[in-house]
Formats: sequence, structure tokens, C-alpha cells
Amino acid sequence: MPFNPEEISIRRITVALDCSPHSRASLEAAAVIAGALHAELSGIFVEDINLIRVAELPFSEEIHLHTARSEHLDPERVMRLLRLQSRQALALLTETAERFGIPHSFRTIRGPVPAEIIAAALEGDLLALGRTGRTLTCRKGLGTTAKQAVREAKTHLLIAHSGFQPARPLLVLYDRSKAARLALRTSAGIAGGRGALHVLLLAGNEREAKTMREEAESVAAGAKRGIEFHVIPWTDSEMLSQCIRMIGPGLLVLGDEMEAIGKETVHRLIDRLAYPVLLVKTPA
Amino acid sequence: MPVPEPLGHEKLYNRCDPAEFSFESTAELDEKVTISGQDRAWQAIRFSVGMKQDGFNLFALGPSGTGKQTAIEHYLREKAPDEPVPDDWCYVYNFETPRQPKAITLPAGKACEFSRDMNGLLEALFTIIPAAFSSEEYQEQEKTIKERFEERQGGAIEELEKKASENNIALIRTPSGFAFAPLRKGEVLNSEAFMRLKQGERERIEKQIETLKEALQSIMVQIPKWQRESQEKLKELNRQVATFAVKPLFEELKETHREHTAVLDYLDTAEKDVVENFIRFLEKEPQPQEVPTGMADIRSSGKSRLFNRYRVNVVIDNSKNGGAPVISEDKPSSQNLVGDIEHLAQMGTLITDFTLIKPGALHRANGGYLILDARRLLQEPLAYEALKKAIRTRQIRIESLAQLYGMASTVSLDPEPIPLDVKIVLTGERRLYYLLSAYDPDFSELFKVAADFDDDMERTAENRRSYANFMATIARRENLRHLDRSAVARIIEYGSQLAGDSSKLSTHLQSVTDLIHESDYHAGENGRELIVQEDVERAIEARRFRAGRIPGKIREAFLQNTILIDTQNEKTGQINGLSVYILGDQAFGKPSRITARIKMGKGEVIDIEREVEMGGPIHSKGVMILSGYLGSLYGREQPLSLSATLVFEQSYSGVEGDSASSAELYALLSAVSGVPLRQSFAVTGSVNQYGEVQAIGGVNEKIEGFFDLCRERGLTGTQGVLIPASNVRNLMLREDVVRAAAEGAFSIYPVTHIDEGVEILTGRPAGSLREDGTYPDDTIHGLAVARLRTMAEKQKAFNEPDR
Repeated sequence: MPFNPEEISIRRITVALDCSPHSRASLEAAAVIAGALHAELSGIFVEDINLIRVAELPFSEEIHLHTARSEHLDPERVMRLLRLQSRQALALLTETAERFGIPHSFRTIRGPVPAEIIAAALEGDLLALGRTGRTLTCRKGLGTTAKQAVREAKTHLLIAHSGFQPARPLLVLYDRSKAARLALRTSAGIAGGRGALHVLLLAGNEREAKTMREEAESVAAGAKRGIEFHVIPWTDSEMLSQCIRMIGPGLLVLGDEMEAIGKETVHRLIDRLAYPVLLVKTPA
Repeated sequence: MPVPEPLGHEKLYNRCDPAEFSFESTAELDEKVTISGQDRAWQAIRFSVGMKQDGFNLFALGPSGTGKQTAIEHYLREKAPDEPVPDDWCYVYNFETPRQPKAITLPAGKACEFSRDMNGLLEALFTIIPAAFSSEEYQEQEKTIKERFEERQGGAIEELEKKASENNIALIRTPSGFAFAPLRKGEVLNSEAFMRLKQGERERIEKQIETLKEALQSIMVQIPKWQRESQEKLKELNRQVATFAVKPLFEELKETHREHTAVLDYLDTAEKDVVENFIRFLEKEPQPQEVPTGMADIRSSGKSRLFNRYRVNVVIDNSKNGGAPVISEDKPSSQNLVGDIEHLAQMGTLITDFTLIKPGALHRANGGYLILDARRLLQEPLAYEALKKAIRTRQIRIESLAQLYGMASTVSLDPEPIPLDVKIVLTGERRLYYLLSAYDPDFSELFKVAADFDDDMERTAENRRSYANFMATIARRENLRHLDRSAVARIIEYGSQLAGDSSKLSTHLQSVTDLIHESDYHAGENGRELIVQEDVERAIEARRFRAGRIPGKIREAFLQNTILIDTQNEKTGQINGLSVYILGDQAFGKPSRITARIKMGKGEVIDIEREVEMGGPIHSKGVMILSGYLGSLYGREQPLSLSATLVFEQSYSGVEGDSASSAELYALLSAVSGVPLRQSFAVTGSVNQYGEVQAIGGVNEKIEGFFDLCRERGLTGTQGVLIPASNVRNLMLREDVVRAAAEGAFSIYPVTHIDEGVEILTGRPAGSLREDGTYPDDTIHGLAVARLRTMAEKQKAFNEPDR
């Protein structure tokens, strides 16, 4: 099947910015994809309504992480800080977009962060956000917003991790499902002539693997570089995680509704693996 | 007293017969240099070398150019191979006190091996350690430890968050930490809604939040502790992994060097250090770049210097020595002797480490011999002191002069001193030795043996053969033409001329070497294969001509009568004395007119040179001796009623020495007796109070100086020189002088007593004292006594006019 970029329906990427390291990585990854797919960037900064409200409460107190000291939370200071972060987010977006030569826009919204981001994502085709937001403690898995987005977002999702390396290979999981085909085609488009594309075939046996490979080659015919195929018979998240780690991808591309692995496994992989993930949602 | 006959020509020059040599040219002689005739010095050298006790170091003293250093070096190099090869020395990093690098000794050749092994180990560590730390097993364990901490921290907060949530309270992340807020339907209550709550509800929420806050605070207090525990675990893991990775490498090395305890100790500490600093081996080492000498590579300097600590600085490698080392240091500065700590410039500062420790001559000579030129040593600031300190303490301590004198204020190193066992040989002039002996109390303690090299040696057959061997060696070593035996004979004669003694040979071998070089040049000019006698003669003549400007000018002044010297007539109270001038390395003789005048007086002889302070003490002493002689000769029976004045005519500089005292006496006797002296003679020789003529120096130059003037004016056969008889053995006169003497054109009289000389100079006998205490009337003394008596009577009459 000849490669047709029109089939990849990503024209606008919504980037949730909070200036955290993961968020910066998500902007970088989004810019790479936007560059490859000729998409535009739409940056959003959400002023956390909960934080504003806490600050306005008469008894509000902030407990400092490194000293455990508590101090009254001043609403004005919180507002000043939010405005500063917003300006930083805009500057970051502008600098990145100009560096990649991508059209971009930016807006600040006030409200509950996850809900506002998921709602704003509906205006684009892909939502890019960091694994976690600004956090002072160690967090192993996904943050609240990312978790909610994985579950509820209707658009494709790019969850980035600090230390994003575009030069590393793209890895896509393939199982012949519609979601996997779309994920593979999208990957081929993103990879373009830049990096290597690795396809992890989730095949139970050799024959199936062969068929799967032929099909995948056909789906990803647009990839300008050679494709490297890997075959694994396992579909549990533990074994899959290990295999993915061995390849060490720069971006992991997953279909949301794959046949070989369930939604829960996909979500667990996203939660567990410390790699940038592109979750391709199957259109209804 | 019989008058001596002029010396036969055979007495004027001691020829060396080429026929005595069995060889045709020096090409047939072996190369072995055996400088004989220095038995005293050689015995001292052998004694010093054989003495192993402290302080029996050697000072070889003698004139420069006598080949002391070459000969000693040659002797030691022959002896050294039979002595044991000293150990190697190296400096290693001191992991406990880095400012004090450790010195390790190893058997010869083992230090380089150890250094190579350490370099290999370092290279291997860059592979082994990253491999161990990138292994899946390690990554997994490291991850587990980190995750455990994250889980512990995150879990505690999540649990609290959950507990809060059960009470409709949210844990909100703020810019610097956390805050708790009441929730309603998943959203934080705003202040208006909160205020609309009943008083009791608000108080309950606040109380709950207060409790949660305290719980959160207690979690936060725990976090640093958990973090510490986690880091400790990680550190322990790293230590175990690093130890496991590096141990086999170190064990292998320890096995190789199991016999060397110091190395084993070093390897133990190095192993611990590698384990502690394993992280450094995980970084990529930058490629070294070319940087100007003396500057550190800025990009890699910090890292490379860190790894330098595992390197070995081999300061002494004796693997190629076949015995004890014999070192000769041409520039014995303090740093060149005891070593130095060099520095590298980095970003405007000076840095150093133990790999920049440089050995000195003492390190290289340790276990063997070190030869130094004393004058050069003393010219170098603090070098002599550094050497003495090393000998006295029997160890080499490297101290930077800049540090000692506060010229560099950077922190430097204090390397561990190395034990010293060396025989020092100083070579220098005698004056230096005597000065050091007199003024340096340490000197005689540290240099107990003096090898006194003589200026000359006996001209025996054996030594003549040695001279020939030396010529052969020079010709070979310096790639010159060989000398035929006539040239060898002539150079031996030159050796005697240099020694100023026909029965000796000079040991100033540098002059001999120079003459061979110059003769080779002339042989080349003449297109000869070998140097022959004629070439040597030409070389000597050319050298004389080159240095002949001043004697030539003086001679010209004589011929033009600018300086008055009579070589023909007879004059009363006037004589030709002879003196020697030494300019640079050239000596030449010059006649001087000496005159004596008398008048009535009290018996004193006035030395005009002394009166105007142009006469040196020895000259003045000579003149005073004359007074004593005259007094004893003529003043026994009557008072000396004269006053005599003596002067060196046309002398415009000082006069020193007593070699003119006989001439002055002749002039006085002539003046007193009124008998004229033959001006065709010149006289040299000192005299004592008994009228005996004594030996003087520079006899050859003096004779040749007068001969040259006579030859220019024309030899008449009446001209000659009176010399002390005891100087006959010193005669090695020029060929033209000898020839003139043989032809009877020029005479040289050996004189033992003033009376002999007087008769030669006046043609009248001096006169012997008769039993009645008088001299015959027609003799010099008779005439002198008569004249003195007349003067005494006149003076007496003058003093007593009334009688």
C-alpha cells in the first residue's frame, strides 16, 4: 500500500505546558512530530483553579517540602507565580516552534487542570503532555493529569518523559489490529527519513509472524528507511516491558485498542515505561 | 774563581729522538690511555673509590686542562661494570597524604615493568568498571534501591492523600510544597463556599486539615532519612560491584609483584581508591589534544590528573646499566643535582603532581659515581649547599628553590626522600680546594680524599710512550690525521717546553690536544696523510706569530730607541736585566735597563721602585738582600759611606719578583768599582746574601726575548745571557737560539756566584779576599774597596772640618 500522509490525521497538536522538565520534553517531542507531519502547535497553560482556591481559603497553609515548615499561602503570590509560569510557557513554545519553523498559538485557561487539558485537546488531533507535572516528590508512574488523559482523552496522546532523544529509534507494537495499523502508519510518517523504525510483532508463532511482517511492511511502505522487525510471543506487560527496554526506543508508539493486548495492558505499559509514548486512538 | 764556559748547544734543548719509537705513526698504537706519572693522584683515587665509609669523597685538584675529569671518568667507567647494578626508583601517589608522594625501590628493570603494569591496569579499569556498572544485574539492583525510596516516599504521601480524600480533603501541590483544602464534588471549595459552611463544620475541617498537616510534616521529616538510607544502600552496592570488578585485576598485579612489599602496600591502597572513585571511570575520557609544552590540556586536565594518581613515575631506570652508574653533570645546578618538581600552566595557575617530579644527577648516580666540576658547582646558587646536605644526610630530598625562597606561593609537593649511596668526585683547581678547605668547615668532613694532579711528570721513556698513546687517542677520537714519529717527538719536546723543564713533560693535555688540532690543519694545508714534524713546527710558529703583536711592538720600540737598551757598548752602573710578561696564555721575555748610581751616604741602597710604590715586596726583599751582601763584602773593616740608587729605567708599571736582583748587584758593583759592564749581555737570576746566584722562572722566554732583540740588531758573537746554573735543566730554547749558540753567535753562561758573572760582564776578575783581609788592587772588589775607602775618608773629612 503506498504511503499517503493524508491518512495521518494529525494537523494540530495541543501541548500542555507547565514548564516542568517533562512538559519541556513533551514540547520538544511534539515539535519533532509536528515538523514531520506538517502540523501546527497549540500551547495551553492551565492556571490551577484548585491552587487559587486553596490560596484564598482563610486557613490555607503551605507545607514546605524540604523544611516541613508551614506558612500561610498568599493568594497574590500564587497569582503572580501562575502569571510568571504562563509567560515562561509562552516563551518556551515560541522558541521551540521557531526553531522547528512550525506555526504556533498559545492561550492560558483557568480551571481544573486535567479537565481543562482534556477539553482543550478536543480542538486538536494530538495532545502532548508530560508524564508528571511540577512535583517536588519522586513519582514513579504517571501523574494525575496524564493518567486521566490516558483514560479519557479522545485524541491521540503523546506522553513525554524528560530526556527525550529524537535520534533514537521509533518502536511500534503491531498485532494486525486496526489500532496497530494506524499506529504503524503514523510511526512511518513520523520516522520519515530521520530515524530507524523498529516493529515489535506480537505473534504467537512463526507463521503468524511471517504474515504479520508482510502486512506490516505493506502498511509502513512509506517509511523511507529500513524497518527492523522483532518478534515476541508474549503479551503480558512484564515481558513486553523487558523487550521494549532492550530496544530502548526514543518514542514508543502504541494503539489504544489492540487485539493482542488489552487496553489495561497498554495503560500499564505507559505507566511503567519511562519512555515517551505516542498513544494512537482509534477513530470511532 | 774560574769563569764558566758558555753552554754547549746540546744543553739548551733536550731533543727527543724519533728513532726511539718503534712505530712509524700513531695509527699503529692502541687506544688505551694510560696517563702515568700521576702516581700520587691515582693512589688517592683508588683509595677514595675503595673506601665505603661516609665522607671519603674525592676532590681531584690540579690545573685545568690536565685531563683530570677525563682520566677519572675513564677509570670509573672501566671499574663500574664489575660493581652491582643499583635498584630502580619510582614515585607513586600517596593516597593518604597526596602532598607527599611515596618513593618505591625495585630491582633494576622492575620499575618500568611496574609502571607498564599500572598503565595496563588503568586502561583495563576503563573497560571493566563501565562494563560492570552497565550490566543488567547492576542496573536492576540500582533501580530497585531507587524505586524502594520512591515507593516509600510516594507511598507515604499517597496514603496520606488517600486518607485526606476519605474526609473530602485534597492534597494540593503548591509551588514549594503541599497544602490541604476541603473538597466538594471533586473540586476545592472556594472561600465563599467555605464561609457559608456552619461554624462547627468549618472547625471540623480545619481540625482535620491541622491533623493531616502534622502527619505530612512528620512524613517530610522522614524523607531525608529515607534518602540517606537509600544512598547508603546504593553506595554499598556500588562498592561491592566495583570491588568485584577490579579485584581480579589487582590480584593479578599483586601476584606479579608479590616479592615487593612496598608495591603490594601501594596496590592495596590504590585498589581501595579505585573502588571509592569508580564513578570517574564511568565518564568518557576525552581524547588528548596537542597543547604547548608546559601547559596543561584544559579539557582533559582535571580528569587526566585524577587518573595520574594510578600511574608510576619512574625516576630511575637502571635496566640498561651494566653496573654502577658513572654520571658526569655539566650543569650542576641545585635542580639538576637533587631533582625538581615541575609545574604546568593551567588557566594562569601552576599545577603539579608527582608525575612531574624530575630526577637529578644524584638520583641517576645513586649506587655509583657522580663527577662534578667544582667551579661550576660553586657558581650555581645553592647547588653546593644542596650537594653537601644530600651527602651529609645520605638522602636526596627534592626541594624547589622557588618554594624555599617564597617566589612561588602555590602548594607544592614534598616527595619522600630517597636514600643516597654515591661517591662524589669533584674536580677543580688547587686554589678552589685550598679555599674550600680553609673556609668551609664541612668540606674536609665530606671530601676527605684529595687527588693532587701534578702539573708535569718526568720525561721518562714510559711517559714519552704514554704521550704518544695519548696523541693516538686524540687523533682517533677527534678524527684527525695520525702523527708520524717525528711529529710525536716534536710534541714531546713541546711538552717539555710547556713544563718549562727539559726533564719533564707537561700534564696540561688540553694544550697538547690543541697543538695536535692545529698541526692537523697545517698537514691538511700541505696535503699530507700524516702530521709530520714540520706541521707541528708550523703550528707552534703560527701560534707564536698570532700572539706576537705586543712583543713585536716592544721590539720595535727597542730598535727605534724609544726604549733604550744597549746591546753593544760598555757602561758603568748600567746593565740589561730580563723580565717575563704573561698575557693570556702567552709568555714572552723583555730586556730592561737597570742602572745604579752612587753618592756619599750612610750605606743604604735606595730602591726607587719601592720609593714610588711601584715595586712589589719580593722585589724590595731582593734589593735589601743586596744591601746585606754589600755590607758583608765591603763593610766589615770600614763603614759604607755611600748611598746607592737603583732603578728599572723606562718602567711604567710595577716590578715584582727577585729575578733581577743579580743584575741589580752587577750594576751596583760596577757603579762602586767604576768598571763598566758589557752591554752585550743580559742577566737574570736572584742572589742571596752570600752572592750565590739562585734559580728563577721563565728562563727560556727571557733568553729568547733578549736573543730576538740582538738578532734584529745583528748578532755579533759577543752577545749572550747570564743565567743561574741551576736553571740549565729548564732550558728548552727555540731552534734559532740553539742554532746561534752552536754557531758561537750567541752565548748562554751558567752562573753560580756573583763573582763569576762580574768577570764575564767586565772582563776583570772579581777578586778573592786575601789573608790580610784585602782584595787585589786591579780586581772589581779591590777597586770597589778603594773607592769606598776614598768616599769614607771624604765623608769623615767633611763631617770633621775643624780637625
